[in-house]
Parts: sequence; C-alpha cells; structure tokens
Amino acid sequence: MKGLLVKDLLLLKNQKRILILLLLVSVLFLYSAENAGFMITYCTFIASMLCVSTISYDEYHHGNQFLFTLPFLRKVYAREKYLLCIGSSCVVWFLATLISGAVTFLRPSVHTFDFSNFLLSSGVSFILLVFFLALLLPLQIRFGNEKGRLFVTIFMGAGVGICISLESILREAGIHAGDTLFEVLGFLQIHTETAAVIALVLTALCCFISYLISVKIIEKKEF
Amino acid sequence: MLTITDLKKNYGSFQLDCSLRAEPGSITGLIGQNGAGKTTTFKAVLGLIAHDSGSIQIFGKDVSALTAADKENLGIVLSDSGFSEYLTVKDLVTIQKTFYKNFSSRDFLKKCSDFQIPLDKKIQDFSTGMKAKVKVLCALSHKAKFLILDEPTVGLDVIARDEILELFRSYMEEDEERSILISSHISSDLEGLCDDLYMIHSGKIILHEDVDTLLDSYGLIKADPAQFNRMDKQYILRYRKEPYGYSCLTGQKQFYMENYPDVAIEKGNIDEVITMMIKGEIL
Repeated sequence: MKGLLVKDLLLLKNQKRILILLLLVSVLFLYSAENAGFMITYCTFIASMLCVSTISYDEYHHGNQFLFTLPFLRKVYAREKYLLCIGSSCVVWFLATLISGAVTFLRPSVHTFDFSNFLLSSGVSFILLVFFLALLLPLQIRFGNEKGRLFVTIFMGAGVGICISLESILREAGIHAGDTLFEVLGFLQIHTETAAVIALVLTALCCFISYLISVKIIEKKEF
Repeated sequence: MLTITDLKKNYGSFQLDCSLRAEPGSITGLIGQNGAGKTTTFKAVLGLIAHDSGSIQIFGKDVSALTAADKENLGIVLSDSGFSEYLTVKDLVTIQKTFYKNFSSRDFLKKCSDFQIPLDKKIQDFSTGMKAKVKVLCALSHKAKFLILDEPTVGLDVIARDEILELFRSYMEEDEERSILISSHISSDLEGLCDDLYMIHSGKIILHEDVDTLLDSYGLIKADPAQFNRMDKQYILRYRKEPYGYSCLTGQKQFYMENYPDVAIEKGNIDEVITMMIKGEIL
C-alpha cells in the first residue's frame, strides 16, 4: 500500500499548478464572501477529485497492465484509492474548516459567530462529498474516467427520478412524503448530536459497502 | 520456475491453447508473429487476464495464489505498458524503494547514468529507446529470481539492443537459479540469448526446441522436383513449393547431408524455421 500511495502522491505533485490555483481562489473566497462555507466545499471537492484522477493516470497508456504486476494484491489497490481520496478529503476539509472558521471569527465585520451552525454546514458538505466518493470510486475503478463520469450522471439522474416517482406514488396513496421528510429533518435539527452520529454511521457504512464492491470489481477486472 | 499446462483462453476469433515451461538457470524464448498470442500468454502468466482452463504455476504456486512477497521475485517488462509516463526516473527510485526490499538505488542510478538516462525529465519526454531501457533497468533493479520480458528490445537500435541483451546475460551469471522468459519478434535477439525456444502461431505452440539443436540439426533443403521425389521424407517437418522445386524443413540436417550429397542444404536459422513452420505444408 505504501508504494501505491507514494506513486499517487508523486503523480499529484505534478498537479502543483492546480493546487496553487486552488489556494489563490480559496484566499479570494475568504476575503470576498461573507459565507466561508463555499470555500470549504470547493477546496475539499477539488482535492478529492484530484485524488480520484489518479485512477485515470493509472489507466493512461495501458499503465494498469504493468501496475498490477507490482508486488501488491488487487484488493490493496482499492483500499489505497479509498484511503487516498477519503483521507485527503478529511485533511483538506479539516484545514479548510479551521482556516475559514478562524478568518470568519476574526473578521471585524462579523459580530456574531455561530460556531455550531458553521460546523454543521461544513460537516454536511463533507458528508455529502464522501457519499459522492462512495458512488464515484467503484464506477471509476470499473469503467475508467470517461465512462465512469457518464455512469455517475446516469446514477444521480436515476436517483432523482426514483425519488420524484416515489414521492408522486406516495402522494397518490395519500401519504405526504414531504411532510414526513420535514418531520424527520425537524427532529434531527433539534437533536443535532443524534443526527451527526446517524450521518457519520451511515457515511461509514456506505463507504464500507462501496469499498467491498470496488474490491470485487478490481479482483475480477482484466487488463 | 514457470509451468503452463494446457492454458486455454477464448476471445471468440482467437483461441490460445499453450503449454510451456521455463526452468531455473535457463532463458526461454517465445517467438511468433504479431497477434500470435505472445502477449496474451504473458498476461495470463501475470494474472492480468483470467483463463478459461489449464494451470499456470510460478515458483510452484498457482498464479492466483501469488503473494506480494512472491511478486517481489518477479521482474517484468511489458511491450506497451510501464510506470506512468508522468513520473521521472527519480520518482521511480522512490517508488521502487517502497515496493521492493531488494531494490538497490545505487545500482539502478549507476546503470541509468551508464545509459545516459536523465533523472529529472518526465518519461513521456523520453525517446522510444530510452523508455525501453528504463523498463528493462526497472525489471533488473530488485534482484528478481524470474524475469518475464515481453518484447524488451522493441524500439531499440542495434547497439542498445546488444547492451540490453548483455545485461540479461550478466543477470543470469550472477545467480544460476535465476530464469528468464522472453518474447521477441527479432529472432537474432533470441538466437544468441536463449537456451530453448517456443514458437507460437495462432495461439498454439507449433515448435519447442533447444536453440543449439535448432541451429545445429535443423536445415533447409532446396531440391528440384526429381530430387524431392526420390528423397526419404521421414525427417521432413514442412515443405513448400518454390519456382525451382521444393524447399523442405528438416530437423535431421545431417541425415540428408550424408545420404543426398547432391542436394543443397542450408544451415537452419530461426527466421527460416518460423517461416517454414507457419507457411509450409505437412507431408
């Protein structure tokens, strides 16, 4: 695993320009926008996508054929990608939250700083991103970069479609899904700690299932 | 070192069906035309593709059961794949150091310097020859017991090819238990390097022979129709009609030289043997 991580970090080193641009844009957001939440989401998303792009680097010029003759087991490849993508997202999210929190707090124009609200919005964006990664990674590993993105779009579209159809079916049956959803959300808003625990457990579970699927995919894949 | 028994892989229009052995202390060559099945065989050996039936054993273990530690004893060159070309040779040193316990940075860097390979340039900016050299140096860098080399000399000029082949010879001399499986479509490379040779055509092994036997005993008989008709044909492997009569491939050159002194017999070489084995007819 260490070898794979080193390889990916060295590949990411080539993305210095994007990282510098990311920093500049983030600084710009910090100084121009009242809401620093966007900067956190933006940084974390770009960092995780950079890490996901290492899967495409591996495929470039039939690179996977040679890569998979190196001394590691196939499941370790999946493990390394999850560690790299989710791990780097965690680190970037933490740093971005810390910096934007400090800047917002110290900004002279802001008189009231609701720390728990700030952390909540930042946490929600992180959890959504990890869910997205849990969907994206198996698809990228299975289909590669271009087809992978296409399948993500199809999956997300299908997800929205299913939700809308489900809602209309429930409405016809006399059940107002929107009301129930608002009730659940209302409950979770009051019990923030319970909501956070549920969200974290669900995220971890999704990641684990996604990882198991990726292991199955990579173990069956032919190069 | 490697035993392939009745390996079968079906791609619809192409079927691979081969058996092959690479013994410790020897260099085994696999030669064939483009699309003959060399790369498919290598991919199956390396576990990159699943096979339909048969078995592949490396170091006495089924290829699917090889551990990461077992894989450290393999040195691989693939014709159309290698480390990411976005990396530099310096990066490769760092990466290989973490992958292989026996990787020697000093030896690797010395060989890179001998071959005038720049360390800070991305591999994608290298010439084809330089890329081929880097692949070979990587395969040789961690004291592997078994080298699996698919077209390692492709894209190299004659001098560079000789240098690389010399590296393989030195590699074998360092430890008599080492072994190499090498494929090439350049027969002269294999002629001077290999101990035994497998010829593959349309997914099937059509000939397996010691290189010495092949060069000493095989011959190409050039006979006119009258000579051909009175000739004992029990040692004729393939024959082909030519404008002057017939050319025949034999594995018993001496027999025909002694019994038919009036017939022209040429010393066998790998190219002619391949051509006759593929294009000639069986009596």
